[in-house]
Amino acid sequence: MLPLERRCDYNVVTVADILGSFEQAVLLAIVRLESGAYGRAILKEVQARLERDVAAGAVQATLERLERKGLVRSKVGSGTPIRDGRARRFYTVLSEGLRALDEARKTHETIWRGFSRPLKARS
Amino acid sequence: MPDPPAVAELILRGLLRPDMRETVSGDLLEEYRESRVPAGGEFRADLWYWRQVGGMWLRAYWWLVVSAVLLHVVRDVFDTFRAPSGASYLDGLPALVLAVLSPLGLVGLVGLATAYGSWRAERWQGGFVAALGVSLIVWLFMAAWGNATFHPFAKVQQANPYWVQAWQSSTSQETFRHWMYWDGVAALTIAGIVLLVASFVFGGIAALVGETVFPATGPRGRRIISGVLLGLAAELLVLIGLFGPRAVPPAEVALWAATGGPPLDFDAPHDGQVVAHMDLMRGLPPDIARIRISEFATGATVWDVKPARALRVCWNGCWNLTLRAGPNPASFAAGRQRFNASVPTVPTFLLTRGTPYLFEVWDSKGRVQHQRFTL
Repeated sequence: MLPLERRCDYNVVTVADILGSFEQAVLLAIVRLESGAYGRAILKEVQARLERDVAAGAVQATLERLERKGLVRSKVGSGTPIRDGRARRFYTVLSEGLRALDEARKTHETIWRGFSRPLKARS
Repeated sequence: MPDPPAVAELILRGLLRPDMRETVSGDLLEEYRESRVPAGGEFRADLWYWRQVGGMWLRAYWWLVVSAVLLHVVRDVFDTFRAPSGASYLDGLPALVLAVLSPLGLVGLVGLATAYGSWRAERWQGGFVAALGVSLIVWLFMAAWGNATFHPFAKVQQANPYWVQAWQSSTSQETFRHWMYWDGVAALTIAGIVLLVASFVFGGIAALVGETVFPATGPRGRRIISGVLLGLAAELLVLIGLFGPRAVPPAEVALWAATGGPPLDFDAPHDGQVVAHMDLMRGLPPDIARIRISEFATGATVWDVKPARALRVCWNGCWNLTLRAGPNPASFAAGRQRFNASVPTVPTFLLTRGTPYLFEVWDSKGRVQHQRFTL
């Protein structure tokens, strides 16, 4: 009999442990925005990618969670007049975060391997 | 430049940790001014802002709201559904569980909300925002729950000797449902006051502690309190409007339509007589297909009548049947509608003082309502 890790194409526990789709969207938004990745810009980017209105609180909670997990780092930057000079918090994806994104993508591709899209229901 | 609602912004600041306060509120302010106001105008942008703040509040304190709501529902259900002796089915539980399920449990949750909110936001205002939010939402839930369950629960209570006894022992000459209704309104008002007081007492304690642990914020704290007080005053007005007697009849019609069966409510018996009310809003006649009175202890039928033909007519303003100790007419005319008795076969039936009776009334769809009475 094959060892457990050889019997499956992917490790189910790892899939659950790594990143949810919303976390991936937020992380990818930070990667795309590069040095301009602060709260509101990330919110707009996530909304544009997911093509739906997203609550600011959902993005904020996800950013805090990702920071706790050690996948992103933040630092406070300057404000602008439109926000009454209130500071902006800029986010950077750490190497752990990039690795998690790569892992998530690999898992995603592995799960879908062998399927031609769209799936058709059996009659 | 347009500004978002001040109270919403104060709540938001009471929700966030000091290191996130400027950055998150700045993000929302920027989105509000740069995107939302130009796209939809100030009103819609204000709604959006409130939605964001409400969402953040719920994300932080939903578990407190759910706990408080569950606590209230469990307590209310077990308060309503009692053994005929009046004993609660929860009586066998350990004292600690009973304490949690008592009103004290709810007050304790408000205290927990204050402590958690203060800790989470690292400032005492966070405790106020959490406690008052939980109190307000739970209070509004209580009002909605009380309205939605009033008729189904009253129906159960009318069949329970404990509640009938409690109603008859009260000094009120009101009908059973009016008695229950005003009892519920009083309980809700008291609950609101208790929650409000608890919020301020716990918030005050948090403030005293917080002032020494966290830097005092002075005018900002006072703005929060005045905003909250204004909001609560507005809610009180809404509550009075919502529960005012004028709101009762339309709500009764809607709830009767939902819960079904002919309307039935009794005055408290006095001077050897009782009036059974079977109408809506004192103006809508019932659809009566049968009325029966039986002795509660033996089940023996004392009186059984059916209308000669199906009619909905008002009678005795609008459909009130008086039952007296002693002989009562077996067959009678309720306006244009004639009721003929199958039991008894003699012209009168006899009701005696001190005997518990069961009054039942059916509509043409076969739905039945019943209530116990003793003359």
